[in-house]
Amino acid sequence: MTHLRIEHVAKQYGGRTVLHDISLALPRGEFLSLLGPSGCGKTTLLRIVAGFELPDAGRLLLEERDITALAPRQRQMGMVFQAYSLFPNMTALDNVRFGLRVRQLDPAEQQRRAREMLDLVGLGDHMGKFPHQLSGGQQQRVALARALAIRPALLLLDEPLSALDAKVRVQLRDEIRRIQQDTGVTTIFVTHDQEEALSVSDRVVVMNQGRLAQVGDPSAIYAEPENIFVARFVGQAAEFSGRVLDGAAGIVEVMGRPVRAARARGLPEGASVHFLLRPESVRVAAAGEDASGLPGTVRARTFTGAHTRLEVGVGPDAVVLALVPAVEAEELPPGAAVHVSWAEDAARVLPAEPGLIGAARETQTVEPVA
Amino acid sequence: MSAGRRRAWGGGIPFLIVVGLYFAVPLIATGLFSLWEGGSRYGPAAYIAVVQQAPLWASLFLSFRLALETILVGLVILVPAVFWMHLRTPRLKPVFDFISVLPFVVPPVVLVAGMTALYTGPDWLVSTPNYLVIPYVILALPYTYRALDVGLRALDVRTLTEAAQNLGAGWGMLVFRVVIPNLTTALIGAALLTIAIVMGEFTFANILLFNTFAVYINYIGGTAATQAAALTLLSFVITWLAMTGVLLTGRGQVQIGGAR
Repeated sequence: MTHLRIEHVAKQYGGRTVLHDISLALPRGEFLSLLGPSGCGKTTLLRIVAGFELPDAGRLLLEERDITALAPRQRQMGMVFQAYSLFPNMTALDNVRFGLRVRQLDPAEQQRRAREMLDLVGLGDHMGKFPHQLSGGQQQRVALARALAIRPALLLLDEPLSALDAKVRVQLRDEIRRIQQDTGVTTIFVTHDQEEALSVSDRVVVMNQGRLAQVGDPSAIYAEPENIFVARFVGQAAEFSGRVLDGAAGIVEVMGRPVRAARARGLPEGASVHFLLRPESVRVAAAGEDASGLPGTVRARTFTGAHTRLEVGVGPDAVVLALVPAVEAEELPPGAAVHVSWAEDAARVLPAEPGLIGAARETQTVEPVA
Repeated sequence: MSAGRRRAWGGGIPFLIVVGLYFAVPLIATGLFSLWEGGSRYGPAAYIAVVQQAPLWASLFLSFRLALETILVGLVILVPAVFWMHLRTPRLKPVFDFISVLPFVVPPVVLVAGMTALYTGPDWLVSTPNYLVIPYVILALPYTYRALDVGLRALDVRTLTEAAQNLGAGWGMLVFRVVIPNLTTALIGAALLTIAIVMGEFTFANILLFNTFAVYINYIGGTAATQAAALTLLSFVITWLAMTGVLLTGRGQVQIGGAR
């Protein structure tokens, strides 16, 4: 059942459109991430959901009730902000109790629920501490406990991890997901970090210039980008211009050579395409061992642990990145002549002219699968 | 201590001695004079005479009451104004900054002339020392504004406001439970500076013919010089106590409600 429905929401600032006709539906209990570069409109969309901004057009329905005009304090939404937002004059416990005091709950119940929430975020032993006595990660945990204590209809996370160092960020990210699953609270998580979005979400919304570039589960976003923006923004890929030689057989011309690409099947002959290869789907073999694919020369070799990252030049300005097992890479020093190849269905082929596939997605309502 | 720091201190000490003497010598002289009882006799006679004067206490209490009223009126006007500026109109900050320094460029005599021409009102205001609260709020404006501005700049006003609203708080709850408790240091600083200003203010009170503490010191100065010296030292003590309070709260040596 749809919990939150965003219908045709648009927003302008001083003549500049930051959100174009956004429609989305979230089922109850979903963890949805809004992912995109700075200025793509993800935070504006979240702030509209929270009530801090009013949309110029469109509406928001929570459990089919129109909440578009409701003030933030009437929306029963818990929010964790990017900046540290704990009230400096209150202890961790009083911060978590704040929303319960506003609701005039029985003091004993306030105390019980606030303690329960602090235990949930693993800060049961820090209840009496003031914000300045807590680390950044601990402060964001308290902020999370405070947002959850009011039993929100929706949990809104506005880049809550971006001010934290890498290790704490990963820890807290996993913890947010665990807590979200334990409590079942419907959550919208704004981030510009693709790894964060892909690792914790049920669905990811990739946004670009105020539009929905793609909506899907994390694996689909990574493996099946629907347009060149998503392909470039999510993960790494070597990108080539190509032309469909045979739409029936799935053959594309890349770097002047015909290569097989299952995903080119069905495209009209002669169509210009983007041809993309993820580093982990590229195989590299010494020249002569494998004649398929593209010939090239190893330009650089970077040891990263279990895998080695190879930069293979396949043309004057064309480089393919490959992640190969460290043992195999030992045979492929810089300067070695090699062949890069890939499984037929591993290469992504996207039409260069818009309109061939999945055009005008931004105006369609994206319904959840469940 | 490093050699560099030693050198810096070495250069600073003579300077500190000169500045110290500049401040201390007149005070010591005033102190000695206040103890002079004629001829070569020294004693506390001037102090005893001063504390036995009922008009002195009346003027002291009046000035103190006016200081409290000034603090109250000043904060009631400025706390919401500066809070709103930080929250919604940060672009107007230069305008606020400009207005806040106007009392420095308008001479008190001009201000009081303008005030008497402009302000009319009920007797309890214009015919009583309460009238002085109006110019005193203006006089204290630069200090009160700056103290509040610094206090609010140290807070992320927008995020705290949104966090409170998101948790269901209205404006009252936000101001009294979140903003003011986090501004205690700034508010105490503003209040103590106001006390220091009002206790020593002479021009307005004298022109408008109200008998405040500073006016009384001036009057005594014309009639009993040693008592005037004793009162001057007393007013110094009051100002210094206020300033020490500002320093202590400002440095965070006094921790209020866990907020720094």
